[in-house]
Amino acid sequence: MISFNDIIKISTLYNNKQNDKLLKIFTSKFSYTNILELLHKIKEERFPNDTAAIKLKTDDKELIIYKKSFFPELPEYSEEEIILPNDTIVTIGYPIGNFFSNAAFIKKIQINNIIFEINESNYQDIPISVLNNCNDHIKKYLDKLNNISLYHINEQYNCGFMYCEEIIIHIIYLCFVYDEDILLEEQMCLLKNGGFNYTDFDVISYDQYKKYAKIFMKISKKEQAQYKQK
Amino acid sequence: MSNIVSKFKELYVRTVTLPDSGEIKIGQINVDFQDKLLRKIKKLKNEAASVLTYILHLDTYIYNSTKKDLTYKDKLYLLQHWRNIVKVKDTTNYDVNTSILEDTPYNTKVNTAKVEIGFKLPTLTFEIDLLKYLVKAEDPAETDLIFYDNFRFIKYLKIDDTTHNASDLSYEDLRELFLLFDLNLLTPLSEHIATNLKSLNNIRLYEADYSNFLDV
Repeated sequence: MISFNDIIKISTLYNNKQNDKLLKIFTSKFSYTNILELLHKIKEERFPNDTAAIKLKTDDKELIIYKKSFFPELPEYSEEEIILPNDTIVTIGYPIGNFFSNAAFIKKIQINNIIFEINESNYQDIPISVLNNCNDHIKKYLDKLNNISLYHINEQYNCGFMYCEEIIIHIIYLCFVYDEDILLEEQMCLLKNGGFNYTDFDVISYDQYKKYAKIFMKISKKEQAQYKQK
Repeated sequence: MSNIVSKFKELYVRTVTLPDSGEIKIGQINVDFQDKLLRKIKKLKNEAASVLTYILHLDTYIYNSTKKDLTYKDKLYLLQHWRNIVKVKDTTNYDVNTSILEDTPYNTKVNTAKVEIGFKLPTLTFEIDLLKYLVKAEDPAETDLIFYDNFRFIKYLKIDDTTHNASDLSYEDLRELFLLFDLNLLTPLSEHIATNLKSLNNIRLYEADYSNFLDV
């Protein structure tokens, strides 16, 4: 779950352009095995119900993106094995999504019955000769990813997805970045007057926070009215 | 490093006999090379800066992989070796021992003065130092590339009877000197270097060719 405190952290990192740290912290909030699962979980997190929406300003109009328009179609995860000329067996599939390289599409390399699971910490050791031999197969998966729609409202208002760090950062911005000053001000108000502790915001989502804030305002107004009557 | 990673690396290590430094064990160019290079190049503004950065990245990678100050022949031999692994359908086998550049000075006249230019083959660390100096400039230009590609081979300049060793000059002074060369002097000098490097010149072209080790 992306908590309210996470939203503050994410918004701060985004505004400070600390993209590497932002990506690391953001992806660590989800449990996933490939980028398709990550995108699906982002969608579920950002749109907890059908009325949740992202509002965008475009051409002096407000564009509202609902759940059904956000990643409207994601392909099913798949992978395949290919055999290289030196009998090396390489498993290729959709990448994990926390590092960006063609090598990220290589999931496993099997040489002489030894299997090497490829991950963020060792993909850089893959020789270019192996990668080049896989590039035609990798391209199939890359093309499918790059054909996904990030959102599709209609023919005029739509945005494609691309497998790169910049697009993931853009998705984070669309879904989880808010005005940092307003977030802190509202949090401070609930801490001061609403009986909340700082750690409470670690277990409250942005959506829940909005509900609490609304209820708190309602109670405050009621109390003020009662005070005036006295 | 975990056992599995070191085992993986080991599987791609080969023994190579370099023309000057003899036998060494060397891995292949890997994804790390590409990743770090792309990150550096992304930030650059122009083509000349990108090419100089690519050559510096390649030279530094060779230095880090071999831990040796390789000769120019060794470096080009290794480049050809790596390229042959990657470009299996377009392998080459150029002889690296044919250069006569070091023994063939270039003679010309500037106004009435007799000028003789002598040559050397640069070492890896010399190239790295020179490239670091060039990429440090705010906006490296095409002329910096031409300077690098020609002046790294210059050993001395003899003007009439006075000899000036390039090694006695700072990079700034060497570059100042290069800027005094007009095209009438530079073009034949460049041709002289290319011709006398003989078959080494064919591998020299790989030095700045991105496409060998990078998907572009």
